[in-house]
This record gives sequence, C-alpha cells and structure tokens, in this order.
Amino acid sequence: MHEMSLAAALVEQVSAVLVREGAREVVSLTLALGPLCGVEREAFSFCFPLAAAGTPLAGATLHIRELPLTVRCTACGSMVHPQDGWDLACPTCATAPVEILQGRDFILETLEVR
Amino acid sequence: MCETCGCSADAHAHPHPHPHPEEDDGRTRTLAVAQRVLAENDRLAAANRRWLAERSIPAVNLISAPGAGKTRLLERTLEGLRGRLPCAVIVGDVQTDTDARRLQGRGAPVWQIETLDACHLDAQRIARILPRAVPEGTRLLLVENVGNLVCPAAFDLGETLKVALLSVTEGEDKPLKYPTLFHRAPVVVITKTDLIPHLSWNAELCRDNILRVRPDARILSLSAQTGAGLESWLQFLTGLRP
Repeated sequence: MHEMSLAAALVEQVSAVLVREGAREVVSLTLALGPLCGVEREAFSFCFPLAAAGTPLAGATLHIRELPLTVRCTACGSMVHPQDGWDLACPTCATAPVEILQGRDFILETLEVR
Repeated sequence: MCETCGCSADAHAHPHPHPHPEEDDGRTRTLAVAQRVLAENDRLAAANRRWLAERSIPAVNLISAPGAGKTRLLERTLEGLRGRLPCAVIVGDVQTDTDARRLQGRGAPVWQIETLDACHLDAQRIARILPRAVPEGTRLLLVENVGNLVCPAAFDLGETLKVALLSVTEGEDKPLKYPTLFHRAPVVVITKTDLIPHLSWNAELCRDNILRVRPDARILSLSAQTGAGLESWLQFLTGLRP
C-alpha cells in the first residue's frame, strides 16, 4: 500500500507550493495518472484524505485524470494505444522493443487555491 | 487613503495591482504545477545514481514476491563473486535483521534497513546510508528490496537497473498480474528451477508473458540450490556498468 507514502509526499509537495504562492488552502487539485505508473487509483483516493487531514489540503476535492497509454515500436515506428492493459508488444513486429511515450506518469497538474 | 489596504489612493474604488492580505472574498485561483508526484524521491534517486556513478559502482535493485528466493540467490551470488568482484549489500525488510545475518560472512558488507511501516525502500532511505553501506573499492551494490511485487516498482532508488525475480512455484502468469514491475525490469531471473520436475511449469508461456509487458526483457533461469544457471547470472553482474 505505497499509495499512503505517495499521498504523504503529495501533501508535502503541495504545501511547498502554497508557501511559494502565498496561498492558504487548497480547494481542489488535479492529478494525471498513467496506467504504468504503479499507482492504484482507488487506493490513492482512499489514502489522500487521510494524508491531507490537519493540513491546508484537508477537505480538498481530488480529481484524477487517467492518461491513455501510448507506445511506439522501435522497429517499425508505429504508434500503438494498447487497449488490453499490458500487452505492450507491437502487433506487427511482436518482439521489438517499444518505447513508452505516455503512461508512466503520475503528475500533479493543477491546484485550485485561495 | 484607501481604508482597505492603506495605500495612498483617496478612495477604494481604484484598481488594485497589489494584494489585500486581510481581504478574503473567497475567490480562488488555479495554479498550473505540472510536477511529478514523486519528484522529491526522483531527485534523491538521481543524487544516489550520481554518487554511485562517480565511484563506478553499478547497482542492482532486486524485487520479487516474498519467498521467491532473493536472499538465497544473494547468498550464492556473494559466494560466487568472492575474490572476483567486491560487493556491498543493502537489505530491506519490514522487520528483523534475519536476512542481513544470513548474508554475513560472505566477504561483503551487509547493511539492513528495517522499513517498519513501509512496504518498499525509497531513495531517501538509501541516501541516508549510502556512504556507510558502500565502502571504497566496492564494484557492485546489490539491493534486496522488501518482498513485494507492487510497491517497490514505483520508487526509483538510483539503481542501474531493476531485476525482477520470479520463482517457478509462483506461476507463469505473474508478469501479467504485476505488469508494472515486470515492465520496469529489463532483467528477469526465473528462480528455483530445480523444482520444475515437480510442477507443470511452462517455460515458453512464462517467457511470452514476460515479453508481452517488456518485449526486450533479458531472461535468466537458475537454481540457487543446485547452482544450475548461476554462472550466467554472475557473469551478467560482473559485466554491469553504472
């Protein structure tokens, strides 16, 4: 359940932004989550309010935007959006290495503050 | 004077380029941040990686389910590399120093991290002990992560590469069930191959499943018990560069 560690890291990260921006609390925040980032959406949503309690993030609304997975075959160059979760191999070249263009990210995109 | 902010304008109807700290109209603003959530871990991991590279020390982050044979493989690895390659070991467990004690006396310093509440090692825990755990002259750092196929995959420690262990008793479908780890591990070691005669193990299927999530994965098979396949693993480690 590393989502708790991640939620705690996020609270720290956001608190630093608040200080820098002279804001006092977070109303909402938007995260972007790729399917290969190793973070379980439900578990993170469960942990976030626990980590946020007693901080300027308490009560903030959490929006999570799911990023589609995009890979490029290094042999033929075709771009693939694997639909079936984890089958990353290129449908044409099969065993050629693929380059992940998008899908590994777990990003704090925006903060709504006051 | 403006009564709200004390500026020198004579009424408060003037436009305000400056903020009024006491005024709270409840209005919010949106900040575009665009930072990775693990930015701090990644920063520390990059510092660890730099520290190791400056000393020409490659580092392997061993990840597997509990009981896949990480510690047994390390015992045999240290014995096999003794006199060939100076190693240092960092072992992570939720509790106990059992693994560190098992690995002692094999020619390499062993440092145990008890994570207590955490299901994984992170870059900060490594950064704290790196200079003490890795003495001068070390040529390979072996990190045994906490036994867990999920959480350790998300945290970069500053390693050269992640190695996933998969024991034959776990089943061929593990790479598809835990794809994040197997996707991030360029090397997969199939362990406990001496047990294959007792199982309906399908090596071909396992290989296909690994390559589905990581088409360029390198797969090594070995038995730490009998020593079969061990030499290829040792040679792989000996050839690593940071």
